[in-house]
Formats: sequence, structure tokens, C-alpha cells
Amino acid sequence: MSSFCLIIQGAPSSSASLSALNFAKAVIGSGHQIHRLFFFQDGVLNACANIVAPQDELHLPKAWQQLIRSNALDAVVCATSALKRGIVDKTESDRYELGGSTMLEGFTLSGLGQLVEAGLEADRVINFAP
Amino acid sequence: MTSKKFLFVSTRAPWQQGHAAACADALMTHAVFEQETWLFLTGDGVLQLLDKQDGSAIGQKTMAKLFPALEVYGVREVLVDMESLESRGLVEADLMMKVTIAGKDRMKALIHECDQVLVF
Repeated sequence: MSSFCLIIQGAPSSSASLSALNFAKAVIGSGHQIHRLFFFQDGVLNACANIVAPQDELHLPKAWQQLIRSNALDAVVCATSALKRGIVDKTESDRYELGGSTMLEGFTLSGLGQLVEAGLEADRVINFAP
Repeated sequence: MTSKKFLFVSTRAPWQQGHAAACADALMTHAVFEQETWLFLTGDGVLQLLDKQDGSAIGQKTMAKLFPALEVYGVREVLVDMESLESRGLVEADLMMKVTIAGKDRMKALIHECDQVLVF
């Protein structure tokens, strides 16, 4: 069994995010382990709670959330990337006096240190960039 | 803290969707956390090291200013892909600082040697 850290740099509208999701499912389905999902740059938009997808299209943020929940995955959202793109949890929303959390449950705001830790623990770090 | 060898491969032009800056941020964070790090610039990534860049012309930060600081952060070596330079009509004198000009063999060796390879 191998463990993976996936960096997701693509927004939900990119094929990078979809490829990462399918890869993550394949990793789990093959009996391997996801040590951490690290949402970086535009990839943080996959944690956005305010995205409405057309009915006949895959809702990638919800697909990620479902994968995270059903497999108890550690899903870290880069805080610097997130703040720049309007993705905040309740704590950050209160700190900057914004209108409330815009982040889906199951995701956690944190820093690049989590990527370093994941690189130390996981066998492979794979970056999905658009 | 335990330590691993991390190779960062940066393949994008300086202001292309922030990929170069994201790579530099991740690289410096790994170096700060006392990991052994290398940076390999290839493809359009070699453009990041062009001399006399000024991002203010397009209202952006000049990320090239970071490069001289990488040694202070403890980054082991900055390498530039020779073929990528040549195919863009560039020579070593076009670059802002002294780096290692390396061929594909060196890159293969580094990929083999490092524990993690992060491609941006």
C-alpha cells in the first residue's frame, strides 16, 4: 500500500480538478491511501459553498465533499490562496468582518506547512495544475 | 524534524496564472522547514530568471527578486534546463544570476535522487 498527497491547483471548472478527483477515487479503490488533499491557488474554489452547478453537470465541490466525508480524508485549503479568492471559514469571516463562512464543511483552512508535512509522510506528492 | 529531499520543477512563465509564484512559495516554505530542496527551471520556466524584469509595468510584483534570496533560505541549487534556454534563443548572460545550466541527464539524476518531485 502506498500513500499519496494530492495538490489540487485547478478550479472546479478545470479538467485538473476532475482528474484529481478521479485519481483520488482510483487511489482509494485500489487499496492505497490518501494522506492529504491540499487545495492550492485556484484549487481552493473547490471548497466554495456558493457554487451552483447546472443540473446536468457534475458539481465538483460537492463531489469532493462527498469523497472527503465518506473516506474521512484530510482536506486542507491553503489559507493565503483562499482569502484572496473569497473562501473563508467562520473564524476568518469574523476576523475580516465578512458576511459569514463561504467554505463547505469537511474542508480545513491551513498553511503551506501542511504540504511540507504531507511530503514527509506520504510516499508520493502529485500536483494537478491546469 | 525529519528531512527529505524535494525537487521543485517549475515549468511556467513568470506571470502565467501565478504558477511560478506558487512554486516559489512552496519551495521557500519547504526550505524554511529545513528540508533539502532543489529548483529546476525548464520549459517556459527558464523565463523566470531573465534579467531586468519589472512587473510594475503590468501592475504585478517582480517575483524574480526572490531568486537571489533562495540561497539564504537554504535552497541547495537552482538549475536551468540547457535545451529550454537554447530553444528560446537565450544564453547564460541573459539570466539575472549565476545558476547551474544543466542537461536532461542531470535532471534525470536529480529526480532519481530526490524523495519527492513537485511539478508546477
